[in-house]
Amino acid sequence: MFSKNNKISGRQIFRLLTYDLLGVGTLLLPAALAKTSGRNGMLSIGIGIFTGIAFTLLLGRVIASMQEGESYLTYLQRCFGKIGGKILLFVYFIYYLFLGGYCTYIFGHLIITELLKEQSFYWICAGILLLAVYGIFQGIEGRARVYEILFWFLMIPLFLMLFFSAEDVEVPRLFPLFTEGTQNGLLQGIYMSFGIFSLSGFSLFLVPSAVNKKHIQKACTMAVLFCGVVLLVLYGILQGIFGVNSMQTLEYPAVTLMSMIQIPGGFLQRQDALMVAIWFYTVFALLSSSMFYASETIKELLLKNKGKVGIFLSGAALFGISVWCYRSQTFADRLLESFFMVATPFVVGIPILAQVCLLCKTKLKKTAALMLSFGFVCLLSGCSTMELENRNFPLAMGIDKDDEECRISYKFQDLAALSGQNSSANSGTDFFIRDKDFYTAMTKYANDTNKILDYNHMKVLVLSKAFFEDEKSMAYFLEVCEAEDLIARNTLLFLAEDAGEILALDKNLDRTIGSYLEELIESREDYELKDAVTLGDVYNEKENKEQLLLIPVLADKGGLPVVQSYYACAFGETKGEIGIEDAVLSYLSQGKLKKLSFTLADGTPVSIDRITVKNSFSRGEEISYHTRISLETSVGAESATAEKEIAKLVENTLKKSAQTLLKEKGVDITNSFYRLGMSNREKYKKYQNKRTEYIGELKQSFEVKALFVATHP
Amino acid sequence: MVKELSKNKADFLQLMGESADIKKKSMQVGIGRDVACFIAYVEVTGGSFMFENSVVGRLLNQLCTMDKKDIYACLEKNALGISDATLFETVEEAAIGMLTGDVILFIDGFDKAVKIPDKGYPAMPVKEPDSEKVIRGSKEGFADSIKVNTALIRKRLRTPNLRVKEVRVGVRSNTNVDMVYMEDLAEPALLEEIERRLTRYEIDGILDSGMLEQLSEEKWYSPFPQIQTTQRPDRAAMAILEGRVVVLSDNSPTGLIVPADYNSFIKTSDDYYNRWEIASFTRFLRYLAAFFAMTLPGIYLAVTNFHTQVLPTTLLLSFAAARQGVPFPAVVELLLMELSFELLREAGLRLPGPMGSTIGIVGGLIIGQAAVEANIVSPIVVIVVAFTALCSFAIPNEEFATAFRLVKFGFIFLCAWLGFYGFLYGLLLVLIHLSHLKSFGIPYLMPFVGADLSGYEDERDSLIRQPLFFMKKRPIYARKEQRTRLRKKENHVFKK
Repeated sequence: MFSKNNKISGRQIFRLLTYDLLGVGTLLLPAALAKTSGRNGMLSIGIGIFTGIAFTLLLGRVIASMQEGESYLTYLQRCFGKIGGKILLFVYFIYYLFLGGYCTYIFGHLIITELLKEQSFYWICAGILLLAVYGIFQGIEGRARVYEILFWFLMIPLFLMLFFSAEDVEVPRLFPLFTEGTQNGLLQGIYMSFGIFSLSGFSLFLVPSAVNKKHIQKACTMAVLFCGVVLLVLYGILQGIFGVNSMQTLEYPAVTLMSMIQIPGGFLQRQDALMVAIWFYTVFALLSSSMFYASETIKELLLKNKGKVGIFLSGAALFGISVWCYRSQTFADRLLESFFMVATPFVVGIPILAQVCLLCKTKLKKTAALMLSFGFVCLLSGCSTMELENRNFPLAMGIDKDDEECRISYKFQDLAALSGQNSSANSGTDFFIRDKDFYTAMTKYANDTNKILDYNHMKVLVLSKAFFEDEKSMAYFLEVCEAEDLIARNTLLFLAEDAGEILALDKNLDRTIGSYLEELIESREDYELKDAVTLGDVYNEKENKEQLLLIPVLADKGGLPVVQSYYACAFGETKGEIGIEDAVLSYLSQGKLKKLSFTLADGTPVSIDRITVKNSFSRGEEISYHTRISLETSVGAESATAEKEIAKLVENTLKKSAQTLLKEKGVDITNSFYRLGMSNREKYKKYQNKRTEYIGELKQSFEVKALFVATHP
Repeated sequence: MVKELSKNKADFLQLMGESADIKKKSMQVGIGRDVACFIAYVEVTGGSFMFENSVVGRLLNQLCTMDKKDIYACLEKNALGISDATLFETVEEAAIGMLTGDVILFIDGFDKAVKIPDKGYPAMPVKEPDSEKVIRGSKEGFADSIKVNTALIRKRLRTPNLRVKEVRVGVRSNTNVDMVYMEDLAEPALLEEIERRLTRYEIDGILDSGMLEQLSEEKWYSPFPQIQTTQRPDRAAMAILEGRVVVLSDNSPTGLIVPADYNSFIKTSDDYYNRWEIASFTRFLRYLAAFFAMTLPGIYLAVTNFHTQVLPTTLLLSFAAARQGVPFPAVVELLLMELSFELLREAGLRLPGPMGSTIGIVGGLIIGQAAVEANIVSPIVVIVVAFTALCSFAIPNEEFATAFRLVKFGFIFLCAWLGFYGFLYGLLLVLIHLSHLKSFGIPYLMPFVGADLSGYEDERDSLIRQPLFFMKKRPIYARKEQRTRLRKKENHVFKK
């Protein structure tokens, strides 16, 4: 009565388009850009935003030239003649069918990989398409309202997640620009970004539904800008956390990121399942929009008074296309390629040609323009349910290599002890499996016991050194874990001579060994938990090969598991064990150490903190890396001599350790190569694929300044 | 009607038939007791007429002091000053007038019947409503009598612009239905639409406003009410000031307010009597409560059966430990508890006052505790069900809360089957449904959607209730040219 039925406002158009662009944009673009543009991905998105905005300006001109109450079909007919308009509209129909079908496929795939691993893809797609049909039956106004109301409910969590993940970004991973890939890669990235923004072409069909058509262009520009900025920030964070090489191997990097973010307070362990809601609604928006426009175009073309038939037909076609994509990866890849190669030029080209046509006055010119447009297009054608009591939650897992076999040890929480029933002295329960490889051993568990394993709460993974050093076993293990999405990326990693023996120490602890080892790292005062090595770091290094990882090695000391040494792994290669002191010095030189305590030769205890580190490469031809450390000390006599003595001691120890490890093990404790890209692009390019030469030519220097501060009571 | 009493009386008796509760008395009035008259009334609606404290009694006493001519003149001109005396020209009208609870008087030689109010039908007095309790604000609630109810509204809105339009609904009940509105604020189209919907069905009888509500709703299949109900005259008066229309039905202490939207069901009267910070906080709590009343059991099933990674390890292990030895799957356990709770609620509602609260305590504490100790249900499920119930009680409108309680079962099934995907699916389904709902042309999700229709002014009174002096405009229900409801007086001077 009061509301303008079937009319949508500028705000609703903005939110509708934002959903359309953001869903597939955040899901597909990061991995695709990592492959084409590499470190230049952010630049590609940035330029893509400008091209997208330019496109919305073109859309604004087209919309302005449409007469009052005129639909896009009538407009096309006015520009290209009756038959030409209808043919173009039919092409749009095909485009929307395939776009909707592909979105349905992405939707179904996302759900069965992230939420319901054992559910049928067909049922998921059929269910969501039915819901889309129900939504479309009610008209565009209702659809716009759904997205309008959901907007901030989804955007606020997304922004919060991005905010919390920003502190894990390692800035050196963003640099250098223009080193990887070619200029062509950058251009491809820009084009792909533009391809996503070109989805704003939907707005041409919105003209009859808009309360005021003048608001459409502004809403489009705002949507492109909003999504562009979100994509830009997201790509930067993803690149800073995973590195471009690792990003390329991830299917949906944004979803993986959500599984790693730790929310302060720790009420939620992992948010990935909850955050899938963002893509659930945004991809649904795009598939629903595609189905809506497909049904609208077919209604205009053939089914004048049978709109509902058109909706059902479109829904059935979308289902067929999604199934086709699911059954044939080649088809899905080709389809995605076609969206960029054929559909994007079509969506952009037609409004341009329509504008040209309107400028042409005679029919002859209109025909020529129509033929030109077709030529243009032709040229371009080139989780099942499982009760809690039926699951076992291993809090720690140990993997050993025994006589060419894989031995897996699990440590579970004793639930009876937790609930006070049959309380036993031991807080954990064990299980061992042995088989020829990790996958076979792991799958054997389900057959040998009456429960399934739920790895979602595993705190630590302890690998035997033999297993970790065996490249084949380790590669296979990582491959299985990634493919099956078994173990969370933020699971802490430890090494030991015998992982099973370390896990067996559980009997001496007042809690399970998983929780104990997690607390062992969490409670450290010298470095932060985020700097501890996780399985995700190993995944990333497998692809990036640019960092030094120091994995704690555990040993049995008086019946308790303690960190005995660290295992160095540089550029994805194992380098052997190093002492705890060397590892601490490595953390110190990288600026990761918060606190350090030691004694001077005369037995005076020294405590240093407030450590700040500045690293720089020299400008000359040689690779010279200088580390300047400033620290505060609060013990000893307050004199310039004491300050100098402490500074000298730290500096000499650092030098000695760095040189020894560099010479003997090829380990750069300063992790300098990782920062080379940010400091010197030319040198990075030179040594990009020559890590061994880099280590051979590296010269390290250290400078330590100590400052005495009074000890306050 | 004719002047002969015998004819009128015969017609009247024929129309009314033999009814034991209709009292019919022939009398003689006039100075010489020479004027025959006949009174009729429903038993208990009339008093002892010879007493001076009865209107009919005083009238009859007065008529006994007049001659025939004066009697006719007096009745014609209502010279005795009876406030609600009405003259009827047909026997049918007179009969209906009597059935409204008044006394009908026929006089020989007078061709009209006179309706005289007396005791009227027995009715509940004005008392505090059982629902919509407020801490601050009036404690008066609507009564059963429509006249009392309209008076309670007028008591609060003393303006000549307040209009009461009466229609009769129900072929056999002839129930009075009043539309109460502010003439200069309510949309004329809305009034027409309400009247059209109230009178579009011929029905035997309307015994409560709930029947009117169901007959007037657009989407009959929706569990969500599209018409707001209230038992509070201050709430009704506030709605009228917003340009909405209050529909009152005789014999019903519940008024209907149209149009209604999601937001209006969450509001309470004291939202406007309390400071804005407190009002906003409690309103935000109610929104959260509405969400959890619908989804919490489903979320519990989704995270424990499908996405265990969401919960912190210690919490998850506690859940798992609590479920040790429970013989039912989580979904059955949850359904059992939910159904038991609904049963307790229903039983408590139907039992007499003190027993009702007893059953709540017995059910909630003793049976719940015993069920947990017998390992039939896990303690966490009891907590989930109790918290969900608490959330549903926090929703101020009973019909609205019931919708969430029903939809909750849908979420339980979806989440038990499809986990968090089922939850998202259900949420989208509910959102699509709500986004298409309208109440007399107003989008149900106003002002969260379509806020541009009112220039985004309605958002000031949504999730957050802004300070009163910011809420200068009336909501979208009011006529466009009458949206201003608050402005500073032009000649006002602030004293330092």
